Amino acid sequence: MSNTMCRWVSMKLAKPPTEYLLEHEKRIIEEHLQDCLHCSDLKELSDEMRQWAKLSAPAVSPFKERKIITDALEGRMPGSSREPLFAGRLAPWMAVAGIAAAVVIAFVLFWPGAQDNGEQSNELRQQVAKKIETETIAPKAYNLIQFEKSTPVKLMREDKVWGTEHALVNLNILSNELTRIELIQGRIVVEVTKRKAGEKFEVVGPGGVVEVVGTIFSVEVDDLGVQHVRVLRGKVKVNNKRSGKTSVVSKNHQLTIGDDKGSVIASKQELDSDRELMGTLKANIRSAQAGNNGSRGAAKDKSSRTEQNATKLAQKAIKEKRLGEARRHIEEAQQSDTQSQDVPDLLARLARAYRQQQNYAAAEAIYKQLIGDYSRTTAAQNAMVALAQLELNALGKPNVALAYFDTYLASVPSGYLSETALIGKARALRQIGNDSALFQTSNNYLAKFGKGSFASEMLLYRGQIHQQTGKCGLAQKDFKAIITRWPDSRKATQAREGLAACGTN
Amino acid sequence: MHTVQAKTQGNKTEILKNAELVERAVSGDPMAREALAVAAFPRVRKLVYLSYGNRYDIDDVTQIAMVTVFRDLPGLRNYDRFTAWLDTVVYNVVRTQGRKRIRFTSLFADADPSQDSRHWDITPEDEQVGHQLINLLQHHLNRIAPRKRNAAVMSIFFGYVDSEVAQIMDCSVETAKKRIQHGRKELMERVLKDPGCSGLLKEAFQ
Repeated sequence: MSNTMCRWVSMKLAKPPTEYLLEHEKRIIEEHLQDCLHCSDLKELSDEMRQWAKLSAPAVSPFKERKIITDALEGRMPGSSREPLFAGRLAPWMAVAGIAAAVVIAFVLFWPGAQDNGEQSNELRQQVAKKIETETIAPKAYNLIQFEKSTPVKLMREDKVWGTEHALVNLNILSNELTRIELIQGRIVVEVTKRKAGEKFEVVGPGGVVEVVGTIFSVEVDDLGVQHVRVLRGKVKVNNKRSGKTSVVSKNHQLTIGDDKGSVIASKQELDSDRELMGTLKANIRSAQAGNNGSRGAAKDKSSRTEQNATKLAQKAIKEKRLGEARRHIEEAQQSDTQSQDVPDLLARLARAYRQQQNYAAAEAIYKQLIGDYSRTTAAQNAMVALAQLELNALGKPNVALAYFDTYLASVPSGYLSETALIGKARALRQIGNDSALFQTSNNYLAKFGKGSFASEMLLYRGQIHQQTGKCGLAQKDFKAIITRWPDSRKATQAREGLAACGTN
Repeated sequence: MHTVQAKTQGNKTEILKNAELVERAVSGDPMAREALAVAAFPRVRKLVYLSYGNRYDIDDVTQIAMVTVFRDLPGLRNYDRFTAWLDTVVYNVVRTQGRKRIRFTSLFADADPSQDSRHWDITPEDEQVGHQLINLLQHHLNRIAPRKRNAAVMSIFFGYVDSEVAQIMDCSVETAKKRIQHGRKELMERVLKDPGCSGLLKEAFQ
């Protein structure tokens, strides 16, 4: 039998079983299989393939599985697990890099021309920075860059990136024309110089891609993985990964990717926090540079270092669940520089860690401290919702929870936790038994988030209130909407009960 | 052994199809998130194991995939289609990590090429026929080009039809069909040429 025929038959046999063959194709294949041993083996294998779906991957040890699951739930990327890889295969590279580093350090320390080691290293740093700024560097990828508080990362053509300490980015300089930053977590502020046609600078986050021509803007990935874009100067183009929509965000506007509202005017507070991030870092660089010459500068530098150490130690302690120690370090950081913008974030993390340990009283105290001391920060606004949830669910105080939800909704009506705050408010009102306010809240929610995650619950609340007030027609409409949209959910069961009570099946 | 495994897998699949649990996990319930993570882990690992194409980094890529899944979970809207969404997210992670690995091929090349033999990771403890078979299949899959490999894995090991594969791989249905067909054909021919595989296949599914 010819090779052409075998090729044709094998391609037909390779089709998945869900795809049907035409009658004349079946006949030709059957005839061919009687004569060709190779193709009949293929046919047998093709039939057996259906059972391969039963196979599972070799199991990992329960300890390893547990570790991966815990890390995934805490959002921790693999880092330490790469140790064997480095030890096994990159050891020679590491050794070469170590020797090279030692030679450079020895050169810097013992070069006879050097009068002062501090000045010498400073000069060297400046030279390196100048070299990076002026020369065209080769396309390269830098993975998982972490920002130091006082150091912007300088790219080609005087582009600069500032980031909060917990910001994590992959920097890919793919070619001289294309630079891509992948933001994994945290907030970065980017200053990009004017680009020519065909040159691209992109920031990629979980929600979408931000394309830049020449501007200053910030991108933030919050704890929920939602991506926010704010523009301080110029314009940026944002491509939503999921919907494929492209939006333009102009100066002083912000866009939450995935939010239906589109670009809105950014609050002054949030724009200020971005400027503060750039301004603080710039001030710190100046103070660090001046610090070598004057005692005042040295004192500032020392204070900045102490605070940096304290914040780092606090972060580590929270990670390792040494919460008392973390609290002490945060207090140290507060004393050294009360304007530090990392302290609110640390307090929020600490409170969350206390919640995980079910130490609700301590968590409540930390949230209150955060709201009281840093009321203008985003962390404090988020803390209001977190505290309200704590009061409602763990501490059983719906009235207190309601007050916090109301404060949040009044201060940030379009905040990205407003949906959570509205459902929290509705649940609190239900516990209190205030039906008129619950009715109004559910109407507000459904008007704002008609397709939101809690729409079924809100429709159920509204339907039940209609039912209680004798408006069975309206109640039936809401119940039917639940049954149609979420037929298998628990809410649908309750809706069916409601419909039955209204006299309709 | 195979039956026990299948039963456990069956329970976990049911958990993944429980829209109510998924809804709770999406809204941030820690218990639900944990239950979902435990149930999703074997599926994520299987997809990474078969699609990624490099044995060294499987655990790391699995962890990255799990982190991405639970980071993006609040964005999930259709709770009934959690598994399809999960597979899409994991596929995207595998593709991104695969590209990164290709970029650093010289740096991450196998230190000892002789280690990359056919029975590389069949250890004496790993005597289960099913595991030996899947190791061999993974070995052959690793020799197929990534796009064809991923399409074939989705079709053979996860039972997706061409339109679903097209959706996951973000390509046209015709392209998905071609990738599936070529991937399956290449895998079948490789398996057929491997005498060790046919014996194992008979033993595993008799």
